[in-house]
Amino acid sequence: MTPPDTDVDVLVAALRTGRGRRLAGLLALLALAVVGVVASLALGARDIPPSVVIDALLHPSRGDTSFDVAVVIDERLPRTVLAVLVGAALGAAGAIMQAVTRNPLVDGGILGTELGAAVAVVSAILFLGVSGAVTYFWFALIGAAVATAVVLAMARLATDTSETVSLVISGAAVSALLGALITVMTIRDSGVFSAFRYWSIGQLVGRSSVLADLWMFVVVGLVLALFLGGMLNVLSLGDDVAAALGVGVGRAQLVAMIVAVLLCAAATAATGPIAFVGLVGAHVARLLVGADQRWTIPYAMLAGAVILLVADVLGRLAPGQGEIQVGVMTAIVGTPFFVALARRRKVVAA
Amino acid sequence: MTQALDVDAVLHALRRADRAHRRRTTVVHVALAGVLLVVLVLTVTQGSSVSVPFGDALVAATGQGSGLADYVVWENLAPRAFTAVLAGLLLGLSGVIFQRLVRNVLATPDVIGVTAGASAGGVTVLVLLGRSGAPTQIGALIGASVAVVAIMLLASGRSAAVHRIVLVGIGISACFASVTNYVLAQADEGGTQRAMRWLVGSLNGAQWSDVRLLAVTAGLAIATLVVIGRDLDALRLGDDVAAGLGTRVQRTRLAVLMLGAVMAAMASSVVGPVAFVALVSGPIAARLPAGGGLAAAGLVGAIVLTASDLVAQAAPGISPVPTGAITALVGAPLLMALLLRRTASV
Amino acid sequence: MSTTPRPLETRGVAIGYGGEPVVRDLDLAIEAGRITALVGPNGCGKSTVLRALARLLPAAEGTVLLDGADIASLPSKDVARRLGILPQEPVAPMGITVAELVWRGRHPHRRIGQRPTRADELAIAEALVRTGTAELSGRAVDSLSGGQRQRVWIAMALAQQTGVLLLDEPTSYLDVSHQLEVLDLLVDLRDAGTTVVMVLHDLGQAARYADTVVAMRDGRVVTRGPVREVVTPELLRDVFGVVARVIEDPDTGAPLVLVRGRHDRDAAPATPHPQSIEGAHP
Repeated sequence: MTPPDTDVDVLVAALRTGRGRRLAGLLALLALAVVGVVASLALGARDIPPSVVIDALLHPSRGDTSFDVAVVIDERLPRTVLAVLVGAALGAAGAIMQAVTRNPLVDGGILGTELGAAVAVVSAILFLGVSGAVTYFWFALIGAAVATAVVLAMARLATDTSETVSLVISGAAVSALLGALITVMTIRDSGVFSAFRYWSIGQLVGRSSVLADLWMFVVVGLVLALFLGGMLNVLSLGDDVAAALGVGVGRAQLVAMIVAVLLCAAATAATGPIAFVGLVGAHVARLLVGADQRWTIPYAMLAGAVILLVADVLGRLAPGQGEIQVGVMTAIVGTPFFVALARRRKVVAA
Repeated sequence: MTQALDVDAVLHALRRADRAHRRRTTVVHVALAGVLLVVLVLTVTQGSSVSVPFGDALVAATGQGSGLADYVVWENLAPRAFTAVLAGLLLGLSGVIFQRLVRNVLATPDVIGVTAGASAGGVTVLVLLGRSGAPTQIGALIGASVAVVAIMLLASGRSAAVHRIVLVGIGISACFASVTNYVLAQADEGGTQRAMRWLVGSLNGAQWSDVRLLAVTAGLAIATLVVIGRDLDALRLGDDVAAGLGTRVQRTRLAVLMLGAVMAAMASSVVGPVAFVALVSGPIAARLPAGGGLAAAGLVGAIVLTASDLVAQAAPGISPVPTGAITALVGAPLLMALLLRRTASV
Repeated sequence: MSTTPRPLETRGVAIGYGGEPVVRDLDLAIEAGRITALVGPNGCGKSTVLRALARLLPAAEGTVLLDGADIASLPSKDVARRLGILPQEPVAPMGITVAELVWRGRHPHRRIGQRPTRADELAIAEALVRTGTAELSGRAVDSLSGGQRQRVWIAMALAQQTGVLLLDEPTSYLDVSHQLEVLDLLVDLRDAGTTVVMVLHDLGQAARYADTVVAMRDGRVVTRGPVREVVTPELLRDVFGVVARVIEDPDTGAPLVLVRGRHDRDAAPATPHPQSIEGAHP
């Protein structure tokens, strides 16, 4: 095997391995996704053998009205699709936010975007009496946008020092406020509370009905996100360099954040606020694919979907009756990840 | 010898400036104490829906009253008011020392995981055992301690930089918050209601035993602060400069964090995880004429919590409302307004 | 050979940040009452050495001696009374006044809860006068110019009344006039007896203001000694990798470094100027 002897050869060899790793990563994620989907359809309070699952999927209209098939088609299929869509949305949003803020510690949960959406929806329900998933979405969008804007502004104002950490602290403080607001709003009426409980922490149970109303918003967001890759690559070089390359920095950042906010709003309107999916998904994507945002974003979508599916299935398998809500699962798994990230010196010194 | 003359002149100028500063500081402290006193008087005389004559109420507040006045004031309002003062003092102090240590206004025990730990612990006990009071307080204290230990362990390492501690704390906070949510989800309706009330922060049912507990904590905390206060001042100049001035950086940082955590944990265990008192006390104190200081922040905290409690209990039209609701609804916009008019660091 | 211990000395010191040592075989003796400049290219370890001298970094091997005693074994307060430190880009809390900052310098001399003593007040007043910051005493530190701010930080170190002052790149990020303000002040301090050790990025400033130069490269001391002996074209070639001519400054007599880039070498004169010291061939 002759060693490469020119600079160009070395470059080409590097590209090839890059591609190789991307491909391997993609296959791994896809495999996990398939396993996740099947598991999501098969496992739960009632374990349904995969053969029945596959059969039900392939021949949906066979007229077989067995209970198992009904569970798969009517309950678990929408739930699985919802998990995939919401996971993808949160993963993409996380990747976008990390790219725009140049901060590896943020996502829709850390920046309070999702909680902002939740507060807006709960307020709308309580004070304006609205209903309907689509209406929820529009309010969620407003809440998410306002919360994110406030967090970004406060981060600049609140500190003498490091930007990276200050953004996370700002998000945590605003999230604390929003969480307190939700608690305060829902405490007044115990009947109302159980209906709204899920707006404090996300869950997929009983949310299948919103799929029909909200899938469009999620898909639009995902498609838009796919187009942001090139622009985000330029932005990652720093404001000054990006401007020198002809990108309107302020506008580009705004557009990207709007897409991220849109995705978070749609996800939250569907399932309530679910944290850490974006954070972990974006990091997994970067591990597999590097910092090229044209690839990171789609991979983050895939990773996010896998994470949410796995979290949901694990939540169902929890011992004891009932399940652990997916929002709790992601927090339990996501926290060690976040803490491990925070311990890395490079991150903190940024 | 112009240099010698210069030095003398400068010396006198410095002394003058120092005296003026001291005067201003005393005035501010006295004013704050006065405001606190007014709020206290209002609380014990107006704080209940049962009306008690003004004079009787004041007498009863000293423990000498009898009958209705004694019941309403001495058994209920007075301990509640003093609990609010002491808890507010502890929260204000814990907030300001964290803010100074991390050099970030938003980095307080609320945000760093102590309060989340207290919430998780308290709620777990409330839901599992179904009773509030001492068991809940103990649960909250245990929860907060677990959080603090976890943060210290996870954040330690070669360079236990403050920022790393903060980030780990935020992660722990999210974890405990999800535990709280999980417990809430498992509770029945009654349990949920009780838990939610405690979570929002309420001083209902405060006893004299609570007052004693908080008074002891405050006393110890203040004594500790007197000892490490100068080192904290040095730390504000940066780790290197502080080390150059002879401060033991790691030790001081740890001491400040533990002290703040303990103060916040004790206060939260008694009154529930009340939001925002820790956050706003320091910034408000910093914008007062004498430029604030730890004592001012503590007094501001006491005023904020006591006043919020008064409003929560007695304001016509909106009461009764959990105190935490008032502190959140007032504290949040207040904090943003304070941040927007950035004139002085905490 | 003097029997009084040097104010600062290192013996066989290696320093690292946990992995491989970044600086090795450090045997340095800082002379009292002189200005010593640590110079070298980026990453040579000069800041690391300063931090080890300041006890901000522990020595992985060997000992650092302060007035002849192992610095690691001395109580912090003790060290703080003898060593003052000014790190790179120090940050003052927003709104703190000059007087308050300089007051912090008294920290190692005071006990808890002690009223300000006459000694404290005098130290502060003197520090303000010597740094020329007395009329700024009521102003907020962050409202000052870069040069004024550095002088205020030096005033704080002066209020500490230490015999040694360690500074990490005290002139970086300052306007030229402010750089000179700071350097001239350091000369004043040296004349009054303070031992000054500073990391300097600018070799020209080191050549002009330092008494002793310590040149480092790749974690090792390449050469050290009086500035006139050390600042030579050979030094510039070996340590900095540049071609240069070194002449005597016509006004001050200090070495004046004239670096030669690729385009400059063609313009170099054929015959050496009698006052200059010719360097290596381009």
